[in-house]
Amino acid sequence: MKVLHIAAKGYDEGVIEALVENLRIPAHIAYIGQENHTQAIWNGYTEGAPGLFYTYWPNSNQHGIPIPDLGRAKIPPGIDIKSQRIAVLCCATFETKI
Amino acid sequence: MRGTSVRQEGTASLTRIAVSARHRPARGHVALAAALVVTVCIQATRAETLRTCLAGSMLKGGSASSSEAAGGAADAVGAGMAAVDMGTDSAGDAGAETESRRGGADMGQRRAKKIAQAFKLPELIIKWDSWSTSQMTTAIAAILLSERLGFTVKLDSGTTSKEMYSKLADGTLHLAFEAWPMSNAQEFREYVTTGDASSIEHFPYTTLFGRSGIHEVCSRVPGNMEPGESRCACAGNPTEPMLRSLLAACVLPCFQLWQAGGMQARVAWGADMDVSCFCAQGSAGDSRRSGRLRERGAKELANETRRRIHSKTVQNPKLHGEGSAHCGKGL
Repeated sequence: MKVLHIAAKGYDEGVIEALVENLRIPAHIAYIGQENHTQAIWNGYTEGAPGLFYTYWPNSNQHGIPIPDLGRAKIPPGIDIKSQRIAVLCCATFETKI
Repeated sequence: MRGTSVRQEGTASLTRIAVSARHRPARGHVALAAALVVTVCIQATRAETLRTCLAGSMLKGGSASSSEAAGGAADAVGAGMAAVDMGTDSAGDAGAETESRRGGADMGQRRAKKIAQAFKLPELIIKWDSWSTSQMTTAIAAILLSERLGFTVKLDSGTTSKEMYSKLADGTLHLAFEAWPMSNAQEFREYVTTGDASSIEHFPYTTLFGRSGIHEVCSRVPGNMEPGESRCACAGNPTEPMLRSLLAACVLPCFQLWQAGGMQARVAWGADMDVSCFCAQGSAGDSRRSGRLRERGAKELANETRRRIHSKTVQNPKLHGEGSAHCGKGL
C-alpha cells in the first residue's frame, strides 16, 4: 500500500513517515512530485478508486477538486496530525542591519 | 509582546501596530512594522477586507478619506522611519506628534522625503514556498514591501521549511509568511519557543489555521461488502459536470432498486454539498428532487455507473423493508 506524498523535503518532513510508522500499517510513502500528486488525486476521485495521499488545508483546489471534499483518513486522534496556527516568522537580527 | 497587537481582529489592529511600532526605540522595528502592516493586510484578504486595508493604509498613504484605523498603519511606518532619521531618542516624540494629528496626508509625505534622505532600505530576503497559497501571500507581501515601502525584495526559493529556521536565525533569510510550526516542531522549539528570544520573531495569524495529514481519495462505505471489495462514497457538488461521475456512483444503489422494483429514489443535497441518496419503497420521498435527477439524464448516469462501479447496495437495518444508501463525507 502506498501513501502518495509530494516530496521528501519541503512538506512536513518526516511527519507523515512517523505517522505511518505509528499506525503500524503495511504502507510506504511514495514521493511522486506535485504534478503527479495532483493527477493521482484527480484520477482517484473521478474513478472512485480508493487511495491514500498526503495533503493539507488551506490549499488550492486540485484540478478543481476542493481539498475539503476529500475525506480525511480515519486515524486515532492521539497520533493524527493536529490543526496548527500558521504564522509569519521574521528574522530578529535584521534589525541590527538597518 | 509585539505579537500581541497582531492578534487583534481586522483593520482595527493596524492602529495598535502603529502605536507599538512608533514607540519602539530600536531602529530595526521599521522592518518589523512594515512586515506587520503587510501581514495584517494579507490576513485581511482572507476576510475579504483587503480593499479597506490597502486603500486605507497603503495605497492612499493615510488619507483621511479612508479608514482611520488603516490609515494609522501607514503612519506607523512613516513615524518609525522618521524616528530613524531623527535618532532613537525622538521616536517617542514622533509617535506623540502622530497621535495628535491622526492621519494627516501631508505629514506622511514629508516623512517619506526624510526616509529617502536618511538611508537606503536594505534588501529583504523572503522565503518563497513551493505551494500556491503561500506563494499568493508572499507575492502580495513582496509587492507591498517593494512598491509601497521601498524595500529591495529578493525571493528565496531554495530553502526548505526545515532549513528556514536556521537561516532566519542567522539572518540569511528575513521573512517567511507561511510557517507551519508543527510541521517542523523540533526546529520551531529550538529557534522560536525555547531558543534565543532575539533570533526569530513569531507572529501567528489571528484566524488562519492549517492542518495536514493523510487523506482518502474516496472514503470507503461501511456495509455488507464482500472481502476485498471496496466502494467509495462521494462528496462534491453534483451540479458540476466534471463531478457527474461521482453523482453516478453515489446514486447507483438507488437506481438499482428503483429500476428493479419501482422504488423511489430520493436524493438530497446537504448544505455543504454532500449528497445523500435514499431509496424508499412506496414513500413519497422528495419526488421533486428525484424527478430533477431523472431529467438530468438518469439513463446516462445509470450507464456510467454500471461501467464504473461494482458494488452492493448498502442495507440499512433500521429501515424495515427499505433499501438505503447514503454517500457523503464522514462515512
